[in-house]
Amino acid sequence: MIRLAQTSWAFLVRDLQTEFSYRLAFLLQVSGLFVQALMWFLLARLVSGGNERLLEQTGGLEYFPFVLGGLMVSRFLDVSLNAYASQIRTEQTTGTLEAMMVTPARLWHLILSSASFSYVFAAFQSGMYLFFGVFVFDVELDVGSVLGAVAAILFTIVAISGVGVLSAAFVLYFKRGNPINFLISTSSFLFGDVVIPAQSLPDGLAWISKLVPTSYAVDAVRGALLRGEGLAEIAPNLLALAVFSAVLVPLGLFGARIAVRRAKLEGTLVQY
Amino acid sequence: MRAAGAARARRPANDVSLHAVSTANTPGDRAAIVVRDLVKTFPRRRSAGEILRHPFHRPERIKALSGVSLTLQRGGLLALLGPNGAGKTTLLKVLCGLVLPQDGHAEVLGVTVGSPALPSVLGLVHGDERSFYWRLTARENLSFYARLYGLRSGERQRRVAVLLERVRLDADADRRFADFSSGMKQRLAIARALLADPPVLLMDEPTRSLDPVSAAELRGWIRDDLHVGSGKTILIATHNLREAETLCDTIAVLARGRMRALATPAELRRKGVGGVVYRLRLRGRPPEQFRVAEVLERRDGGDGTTSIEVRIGRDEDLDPLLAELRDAGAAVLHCAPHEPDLEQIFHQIVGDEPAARGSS
Repeated sequence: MIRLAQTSWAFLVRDLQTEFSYRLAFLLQVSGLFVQALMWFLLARLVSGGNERLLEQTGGLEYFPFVLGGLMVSRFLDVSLNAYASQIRTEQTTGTLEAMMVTPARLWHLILSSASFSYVFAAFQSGMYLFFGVFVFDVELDVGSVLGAVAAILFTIVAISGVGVLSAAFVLYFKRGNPINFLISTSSFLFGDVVIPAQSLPDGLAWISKLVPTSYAVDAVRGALLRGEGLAEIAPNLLALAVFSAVLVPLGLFGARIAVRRAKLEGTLVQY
Repeated sequence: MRAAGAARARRPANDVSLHAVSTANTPGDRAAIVVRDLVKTFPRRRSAGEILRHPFHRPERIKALSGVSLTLQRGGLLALLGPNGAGKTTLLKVLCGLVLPQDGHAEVLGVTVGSPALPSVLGLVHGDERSFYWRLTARENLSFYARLYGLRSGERQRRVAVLLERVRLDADADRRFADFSSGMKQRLAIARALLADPPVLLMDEPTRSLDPVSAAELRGWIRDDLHVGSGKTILIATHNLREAETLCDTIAVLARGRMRALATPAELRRKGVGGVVYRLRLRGRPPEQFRVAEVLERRDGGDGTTSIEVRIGRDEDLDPLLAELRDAGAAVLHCAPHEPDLEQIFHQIVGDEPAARGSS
């Protein structure tokens, strides 16, 4: 665990140094967050004013706070799903993966640590969404359990990271074309209760949201920060995320192990 | 190991000798790198058409290493010489654990390749300039890799500073890698490989992208500082004959995945020609053929003299050769041993074989 923490710190420092060398890009990213929040705010005004049915489908939340909760979780979802694979791909193409792999750092440490900065930045983005929501767009918080919200996000990170690591394994072996990411990110956005309430889905599709971990995570975060729910009330969501973690993490690590071994046998580990 | 045995049985006639330097080829307590009967094949890439026509056919496999054996003693400096596609980089990658062999065994200072302990005894110097972060400075780049080696803050800063000074980059430590010349980039790659102070270094074509002056300077530094000064065991993969000859004690010639020769440059010359070559200038016509020598070249001087280049098995055969000439009525005006060009020897060993793969 100490070596994993050291490796993660190495990546975090490296990526911060790289980010600081692109100052304008950082400012543009913050501006982009504001524009995105504004877009959803205006869209929410368009669809939610006096829309009782929508209010029912969002669990009693106005549409903008509903989307805000979804966007906050979706940042971590994006990172867990895509960052490992995209970082590994970048390291392959820049030739740095090979240099890393001759150090004592283990490959799965390298894969997991490669997303360190992305998680820190995702936390910053989520904080900015919350900041814009509360201080610019007058969203009223009803905090029941900050700990519960943090736990829900952590469980989401762990559960989806299983898929993310599997996805990185795909990149190590197949280099390009990643069916797992396409499937999960599309289904999470459509059926994960992120911006489209699961209850508004047609009857034949609503059940899919029960299979998507994101729907439990966003419900827990919304409950803990916007509906005043305590740990006990969001516990079923946390339990569901724990079950997803127990299945997806070993699956991801097992898949990565097979992919790495095959890539080493075929001599394609650092090819791209 | 069967494949390796078969590979030995198929060894071609122009295989100089794997036994040329018997001490260097015998594993022992002082062995730094031991490679035994290494076999590595890669699947041949199939075109989309082939995959569509025969979707269930297993792709043909290309042999990158065929029963390669090699021993490098501690403190040795060995050039792994071969044309493109010979298998040099594959061998280096196997030694680093980046590629798994199908058969055979390899170890570095008693540590089997692939073991987690390998990075503490082995450093790899990449020939590829891209393996750094171009937006970061030299110091930041080295610090990142030092963290991966598990060096703690104070120790890390000291080690990075010492290495930057050692590779003469201390004045440029806080310049971005992108602004470095090829020579500076290569020196930084060497500094990175030295982070854990490993006793064994593998270098993959370290002077590939350098101009002749920078290449000579780097070679001098590798020999004087790393090899003689620090006693590092160094294996350099190169296709540059001059580099191999001027830098290394021993040369291993690899071609199409087979070890064709393992010898000192002088032995390689001698063994390569299969004996000793003499150049003679004679008055009168020498015989067309000799009992003890093979005529390699014959040139008529136009003034009643003839120059010949002959190969004899050993120096002791020179007297019988001169006696044959005397008997034939040819007077010897000049006679001197001739050391053949290493490039000639290299071509003789490797033959005119096409590269097995696009990249070795």
